[in-house]
Amino acid sequence: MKSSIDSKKNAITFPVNTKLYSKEVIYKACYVFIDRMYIFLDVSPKKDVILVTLEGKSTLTKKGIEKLEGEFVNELLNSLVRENVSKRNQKVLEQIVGGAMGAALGLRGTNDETATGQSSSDADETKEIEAAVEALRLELEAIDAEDDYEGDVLGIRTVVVTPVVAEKPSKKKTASPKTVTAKSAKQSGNKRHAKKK
Amino acid sequence: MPKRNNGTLKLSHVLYNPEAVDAAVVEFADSAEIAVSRHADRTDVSFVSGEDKTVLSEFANYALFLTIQSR
Amino acid sequence: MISPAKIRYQNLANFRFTKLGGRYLLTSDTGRWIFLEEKEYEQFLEGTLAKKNIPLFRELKAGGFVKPKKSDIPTQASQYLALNASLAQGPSLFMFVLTLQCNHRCLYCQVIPEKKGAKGFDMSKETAKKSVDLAFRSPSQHIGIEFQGGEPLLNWPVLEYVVKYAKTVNKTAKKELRITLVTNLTLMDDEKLAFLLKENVSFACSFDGPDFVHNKNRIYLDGKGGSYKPLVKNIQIVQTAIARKKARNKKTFVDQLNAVLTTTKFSLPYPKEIVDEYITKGFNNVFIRPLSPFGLERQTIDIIGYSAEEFIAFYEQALEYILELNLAGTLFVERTAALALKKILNHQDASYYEMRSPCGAGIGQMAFDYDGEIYTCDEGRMAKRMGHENFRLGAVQTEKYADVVDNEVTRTMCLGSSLDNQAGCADCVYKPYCGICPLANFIEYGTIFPQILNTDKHKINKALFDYLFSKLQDEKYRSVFQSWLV
Repeated sequence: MKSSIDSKKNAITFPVNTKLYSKEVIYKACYVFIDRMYIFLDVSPKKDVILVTLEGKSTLTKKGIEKLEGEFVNELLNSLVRENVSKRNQKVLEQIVGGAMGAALGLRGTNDETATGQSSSDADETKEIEAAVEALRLELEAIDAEDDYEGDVLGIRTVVVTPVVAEKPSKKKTASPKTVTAKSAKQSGNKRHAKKK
Repeated sequence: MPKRNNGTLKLSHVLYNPEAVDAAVVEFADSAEIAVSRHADRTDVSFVSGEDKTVLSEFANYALFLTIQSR
Repeated sequence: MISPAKIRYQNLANFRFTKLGGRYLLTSDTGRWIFLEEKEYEQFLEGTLAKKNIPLFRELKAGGFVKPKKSDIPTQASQYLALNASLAQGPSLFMFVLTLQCNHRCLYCQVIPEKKGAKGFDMSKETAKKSVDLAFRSPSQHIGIEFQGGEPLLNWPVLEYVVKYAKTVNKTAKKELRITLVTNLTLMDDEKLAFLLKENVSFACSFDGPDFVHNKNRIYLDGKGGSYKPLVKNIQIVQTAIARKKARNKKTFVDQLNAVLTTTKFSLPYPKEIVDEYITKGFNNVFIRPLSPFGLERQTIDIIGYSAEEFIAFYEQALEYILELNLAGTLFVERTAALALKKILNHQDASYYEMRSPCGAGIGQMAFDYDGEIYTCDEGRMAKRMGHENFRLGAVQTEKYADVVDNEVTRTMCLGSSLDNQAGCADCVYKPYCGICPLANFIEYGTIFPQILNTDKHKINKALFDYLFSKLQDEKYRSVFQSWLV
């Protein structure tokens, strides 16, 4: 189905394929326009197409109406990125916020009944939480020793190779330790080293 | 196809949460006379003639907004 | 043109974005931000940037835009906490409404003032004591007491009492105690000034600019003109006294006088004149605030009100002029911008309840009304005078601290001010820095979940952030902004 313009109603209607863009994504895109457009949605009988009608709140030129579909499609793409980025990082974000609030609980001072600073039980709790966070950090670092994410993404691995040096001095030039790039590391079969912070 | 037909909005339940539509009706009922007809797959909403034409469009936006907010 | 099929989500951390001035602005949950050209943004999404531009990729990684390793999470957690530190502290700002008596009837006042000498509208010492005790039950290491009114100086005995009693309690509590007096300054005398300076009480006075603006907004209750002349006279007296205090001990000196501008329709034609007036009266900063129209009569709104667009134009003109002054060597700060910039540049919590999610209602601040009733914030107790009891948390006479903080109203305000719960806000590029006021939304739009894009507050906040980020792309403005945060 193609898009259609109704100049009298100051509106344009166009189809959006629900196989490419989910309802959530379409809603997100609609919301961006809600302050300057009236928006009407309808669904095809097979539910594979959502018809979007955008009607200008203020009068638009013919060109202005025609541009709306392109603007909306751009916004669909932006919304698709937002939706997927958000979904895929949900757990990580929970860990980050949880870690932050957990650390903050360790900073908490008074309980309800006293008007003074940290009680001895609160101070103990703080130490426990700090120790737990530190233990977690060390555990995760140990796991990451095997995981060279940056190396994977950048395709670069920094490896120091120390060749065998002859015992007797020789007039010939000896090889010195050298830094190799990923290609040569692969060729030499050297293990990769994780980059330390 | 636009979902307006002689001043009636036909709001598919696939796209407009029926509860959101009901909440929008309550919101607009103070300032307009609204007729609501609930079907299996959609809710029809019409404003009694004499109202400003834009009120139907405002209602559609509000129902959509409440649907989005409820998710 | 980005192709959806080419996007490599496995490489991407959580970020938000928008197009600003032809470039893509990205922000992360820890408040970091970066501008990318269109091509760079495409390459970032497609996972090819790492090979094409290593320094830029490293910058994106440092900013938290690249999918974090598990061992990155504790660092990002502490960065997140730094940006949102006040969420973890508990209430740290307590407004004490000492009296409803006032000698002014300012056009934009949301409190219906009682005339001087009116009985039954003052906070008693007993209520004040209970309020101080409740405030110190907060787990926060920072306790801020702010005297409000009416005009707080009209209940001087209780003001004096609260200062002394709070300091006594703090000898045991050992918290960072900060006391501020919000005043029209016209009733200050030498004795009161000496006490307040000695006790390190800060002053925040309302100063609306040159007399031809100030006197239209801030009128005496008896109708006999505006208060510009006595105000500027007292500003000079206070500043002279503060300078003498500084001369006595530079090491422990803390500046105590600030001024706040409320923008009305009368202000709009004079952004430069207002800034110049502040400078000539010895201020090195201005806090430009838009009008809160809720609670005002229709007639008043017609006289002093304006659209969000009109305020934005005024604010940008003022800020352009302020930046010019700074570039020419005069340090002068606009405080709304500075609060936002603290989050943007320093990635630190600005402790400004209007710019945090959730807002401070009940969990960051509360207001003790003159009669001991407790409200979510200063606006909450004003809303009560308009007939809205919805923002009441309890009463100092009867309530335990836990019941005040952990109650239905507090939770509702948290829900209504959490940006993650607002359609549009959750995905907004400015989410790490922004905030909303559910009370203002409720009063103006009848709901704590309005259509955010249609609200004046959204338009103003968005304009502020658009403006700041546009300027931040230019190193000379970035240096000016940095100097405001020292």
